[in-house]
Amino acid sequence: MARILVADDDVDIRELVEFKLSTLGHDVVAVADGAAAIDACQAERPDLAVLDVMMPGVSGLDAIRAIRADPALADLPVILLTARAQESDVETGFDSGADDYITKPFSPRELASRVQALLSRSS
Amino acid sequence: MRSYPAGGGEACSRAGEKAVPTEHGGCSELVTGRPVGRIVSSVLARVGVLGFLTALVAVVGVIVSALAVHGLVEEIEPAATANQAIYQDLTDMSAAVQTWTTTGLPSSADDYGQATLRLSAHQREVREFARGDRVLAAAVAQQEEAAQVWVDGYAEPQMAAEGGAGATPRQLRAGATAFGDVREAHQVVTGVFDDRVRTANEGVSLRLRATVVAVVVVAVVTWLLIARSRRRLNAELTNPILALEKIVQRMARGDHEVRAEGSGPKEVQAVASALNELADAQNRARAVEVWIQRELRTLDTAKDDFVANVSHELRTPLTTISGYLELVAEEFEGRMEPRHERMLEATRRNVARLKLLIDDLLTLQRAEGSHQQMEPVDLSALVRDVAMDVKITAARREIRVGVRTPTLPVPVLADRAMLQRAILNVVSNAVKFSDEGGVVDIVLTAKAGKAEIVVTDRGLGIPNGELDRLGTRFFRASNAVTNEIAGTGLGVRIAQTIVDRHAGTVAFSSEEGVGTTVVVRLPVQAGATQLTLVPPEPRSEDRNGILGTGLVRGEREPEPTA
Repeated sequence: MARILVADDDVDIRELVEFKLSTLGHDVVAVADGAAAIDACQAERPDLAVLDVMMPGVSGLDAIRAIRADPALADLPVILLTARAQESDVETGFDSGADDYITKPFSPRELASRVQALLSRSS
Repeated sequence: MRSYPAGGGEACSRAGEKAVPTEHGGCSELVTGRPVGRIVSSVLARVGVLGFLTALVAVVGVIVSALAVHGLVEEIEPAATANQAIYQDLTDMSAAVQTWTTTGLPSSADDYGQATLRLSAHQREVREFARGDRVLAAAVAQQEEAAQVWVDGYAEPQMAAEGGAGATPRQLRAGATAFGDVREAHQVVTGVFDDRVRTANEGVSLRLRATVVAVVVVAVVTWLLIARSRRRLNAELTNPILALEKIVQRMARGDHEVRAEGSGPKEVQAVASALNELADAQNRARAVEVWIQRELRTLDTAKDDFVANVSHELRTPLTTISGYLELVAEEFEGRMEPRHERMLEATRRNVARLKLLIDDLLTLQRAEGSHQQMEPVDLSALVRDVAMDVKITAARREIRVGVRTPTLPVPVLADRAMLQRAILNVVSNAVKFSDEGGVVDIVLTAKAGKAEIVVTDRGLGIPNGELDRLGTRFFRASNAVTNEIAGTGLGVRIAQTIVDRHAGTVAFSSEEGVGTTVVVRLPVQAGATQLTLVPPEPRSEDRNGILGTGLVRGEREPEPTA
């Protein structure tokens, strides 16, 4: 159905998202850090990206900024995964250009419905 | 590792080589100035000496003038009078001689003899006075000589002759000539006497004038000395005290570096030195205070970081566990035996509990921290929002939630999300501990600068002996545990902490089996009618925020399937 990029340094969470989205029939590209996420976005041209905020090296927020700076990727829908729920963090996430955010711990079902919502909105 | 600011020690170093430890444990500088008493008494002594001098000059002047007057009155004038008497005596003698020569009356011979005696007495008196005055003595001698010539050459021969015979014209002429010499000599003496009297008068008036001038001069000198002393007292006493007062004022205004100078009299220097010691001690105390505050802030930040990190580290595996549990449940839906479903449900329930616990811990940490964003908030709208939040949960167990708030806004200065969380905790507890079909009442009132939220339920209640332990971390009422009502034991603590941070109070009254009443009191913001109240944020943004967990908290733990 859609090509989705997943970036999270925690292998279990990465696979959890991968499992859930694959079950729904999406083509999932999974990477472990922000730098790889930027590369994968440029190479694979996904329809949507799910980025963890806290990643070693290039963080999710940095990755969003890099993606938004690329004209070809400026409209890519991005969902942020965050472990914190403070309003300031959420604001930072939206300011940097995220379309939605999900707080850990999250339900895979909730994530899936957000993904569907964003995909249907962008198509 | 931070170094502790230096305590004592350096305090005394400024005092120089003669620092003396006082009985209070401080140090006093060596005070070098003169005492006030000595400064004042030296001035007083000078003024006193000049006053005495003035009096002395006046007295001496008066005595000297008096002596001069005395000399004039008691010596010169009697002598001058005696001199006049000499001429009178000679005139009397001349008259007696004439009477004798023309009439030969014996009485005229007596007159002559008496006048002769008076003459020699008066001549002796004048001679006595004239001794020592060369000019006067010469004139007096001249007068005596002329008189003697007249007496010897005319008067005596006439008196010796027969009375009544008359004198020859030649004798008369010689006598008149001799008396003319006497008159001339007398005029010279009189002139000298007049001169002497004039001189003496001038001397008296000169002395009086000199006395007046001397008194005036001494008075002027005294006045100058007093003026100079006033300037000196100003410089030595008043100015140092005024300078010290300025220093104290600067210290009071918060200038911590300014120090009093060690000038002026001994007492002022002592006060200045004590003041400096006090300022030094205050500076040291302030340094310690700043250090402690910095340490506390560091500790606070470290604690915040620790709790945030731990909760993040806990949430990641929790996400994995709950996520995979969900996937497993989905994959095996309809294919599991009831006991497997029960096992899965118990696992899921406890993951949810763990999640709640982490959320509550993080919330509590945030409430205890000082990162609050205070803004004017309408408590009335906030209470109604909270009631809306719990109504869905309450409705599931047919619990009616009644809300009564004033129609006008009740402005309070608050961190909106935090205060909402506190009230939500109180209200959701009331719902949670209510029986099915129960009633929860929320009443907000505001008067006299105080807002009061009273939340009443007719539910489980809290056992009497446990009421005072309410609000301690992880405390849960025994009947809540027995009745298997889920909870972390942090909700009340969170509510109390948040309300406390808003300068409010939370009070509980409860009776087991009857119900619980919670009263939250908050200060109403003064003059808030002018303030624009920030409208509540859209509810959708709270769905994943801290407020979301409150809904879960209200739910009664699902009954285990048999």
